[in-house]
Amino acid sequence: MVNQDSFKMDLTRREVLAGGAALLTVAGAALTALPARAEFDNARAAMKAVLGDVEPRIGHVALELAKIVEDGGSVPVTISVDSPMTAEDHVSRIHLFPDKNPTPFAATFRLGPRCGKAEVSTRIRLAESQTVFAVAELNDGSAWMTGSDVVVTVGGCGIAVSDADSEVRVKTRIKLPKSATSGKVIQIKTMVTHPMESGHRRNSAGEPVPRRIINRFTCLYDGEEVFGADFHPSIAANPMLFFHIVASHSGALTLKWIDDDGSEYSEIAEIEVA
Amino acid sequence: MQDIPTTTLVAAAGFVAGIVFGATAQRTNFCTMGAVSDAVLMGDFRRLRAWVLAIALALLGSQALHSAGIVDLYQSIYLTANLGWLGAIVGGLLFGFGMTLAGGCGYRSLARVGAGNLKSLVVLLVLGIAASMTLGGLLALLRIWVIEPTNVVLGGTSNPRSQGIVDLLAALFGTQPGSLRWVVVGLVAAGLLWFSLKDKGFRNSAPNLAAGMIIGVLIPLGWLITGVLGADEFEPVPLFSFSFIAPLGHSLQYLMTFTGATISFGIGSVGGVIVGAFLSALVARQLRLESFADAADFKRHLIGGALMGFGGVVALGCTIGQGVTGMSTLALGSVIAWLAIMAGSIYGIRYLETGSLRGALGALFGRA
Repeated sequence: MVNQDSFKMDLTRREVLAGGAALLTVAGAALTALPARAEFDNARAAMKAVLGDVEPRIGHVALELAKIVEDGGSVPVTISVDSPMTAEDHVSRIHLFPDKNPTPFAATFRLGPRCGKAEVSTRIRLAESQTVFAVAELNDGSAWMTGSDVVVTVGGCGIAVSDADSEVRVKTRIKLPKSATSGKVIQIKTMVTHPMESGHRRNSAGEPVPRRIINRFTCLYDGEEVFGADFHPSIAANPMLFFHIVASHSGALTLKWIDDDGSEYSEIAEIEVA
Repeated sequence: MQDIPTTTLVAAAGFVAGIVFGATAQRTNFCTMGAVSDAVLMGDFRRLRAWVLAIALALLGSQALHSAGIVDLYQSIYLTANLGWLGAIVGGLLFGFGMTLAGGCGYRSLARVGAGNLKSLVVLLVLGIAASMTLGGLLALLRIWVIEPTNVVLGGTSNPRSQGIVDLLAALFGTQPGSLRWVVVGLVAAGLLWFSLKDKGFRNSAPNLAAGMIIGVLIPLGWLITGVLGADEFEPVPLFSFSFIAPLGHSLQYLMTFTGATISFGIGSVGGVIVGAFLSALVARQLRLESFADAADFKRHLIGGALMGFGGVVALGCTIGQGVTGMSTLALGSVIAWLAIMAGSIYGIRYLETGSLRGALGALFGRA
């Protein structure tokens, strides 16, 4: 190994100045690229459209979201609400609002007492650094919210962005415990391979790629909806949904995804309750 | 099992494998910078042969996993259709030069910190910050505006599928990569094994043999951890094996944003290397606090760390990340980066010898 202590190294003043000047140029360019900030106008407007005159209050909702993400194309998010989820007191809907996305409304999740636990996970797209809001509506008509700041940086290691794939190969997946004890809350994991083409993207020829997303999901337990979701273009490709239901009795679980083009993809799973 | 997130499992496995990785560096004195300087300054090629042995074994193991369909190396960051040749050259040169100034690459510095070297701690902090700055910070603009526009995008119907040497040769000869794969892998591996094992001095050097073999086995193990253990149907982790530059940046970010961050294989392995080297030094009674000799020494380490952080991200890897892991995928970019790192390192050695950047050029091209 080289014994470095025996060597001298000196940066000349000119070298230091040149390096500093280069850094300043980059910093200046970065500063001019910073956008002006508005105070959550987009999310406020989207909330108003959904909630009407109900003013959401801060509390009861928790949003699990990374503080810094390198890939804004697929950001895991988990929303949970502090609620007993009984017939008398439960969450009826949860909404997700990414303030600075082209569509500042990502999804609505429909819940009820048969969910047993008010916790939903999915993956969203984040166009830039912003605040993401989650709002929960309870059955008593009140609304509760929280917000979380997330910094979105450019992608790390140079993976090429592929051009729009015209062929959509849809495949559904579902995972749930093989058996459950009666009355226990179980987690259902679902995913569907789908590009979730937002309609905001252009292909390599510069033409806009038309919107095509899964816009609705529903989970039926013996024919009755126990959980559902409405998706908007801010949901990431291959939409993933984790949610909970109460395994009340043995029966069939039917999951349906509805595509913008009218197609319906479904999957049936049996729940065995001991 | 069911309640532990896949990312945590993968990171834990990376941590354990990292312990072996770190202990190996501490016990055997394996050092990629040392390998180059031994060869250049003293004509002692044993540590270089250890590195080459690691590449040969990693290549055989990784390609076997790929051929058996256990992992798909095309999912790794190395075997993409996006050939960043300029990044590999510029980043590799800067990395190689930087590691010479800093007295070792990222992996070596991690192992040194575990054994109590405070100089390497400074190197790692600067390296991690520079890597993060290059990944998504101020320096990322430089990377995106200057380096990435030169990337050659392959793929498509008639073009090679990726920058893999197997795919490039297959496109050149108009054959299928599948039939060609083991011919190429066999030839390259045989050549590397011959280079490393032909030397009696190396064969009789147990620490060097052990270093080459252990690291050569750990790289395919890394693919297995992320590719098999991490193959969650709903939340698959990216295919990855050992690399120490971007993961170091991520590790610092992880410590700073812990409450809102997710652990990964890379972060786990970085922690494992430090702990492994610490335990190894503890057992060998070689724990020793070391610090800088003077301001010039400090400055060298600072600049070395910064160059490694920037260069390592631009080149998509370090002497381990590109130099062994990337090489095991036979990606052309990895070969370019590896050669550039060597060149940068040799130049760095001449620079330290002559004391000036121009003198080093003279030494390089005038007399060897």
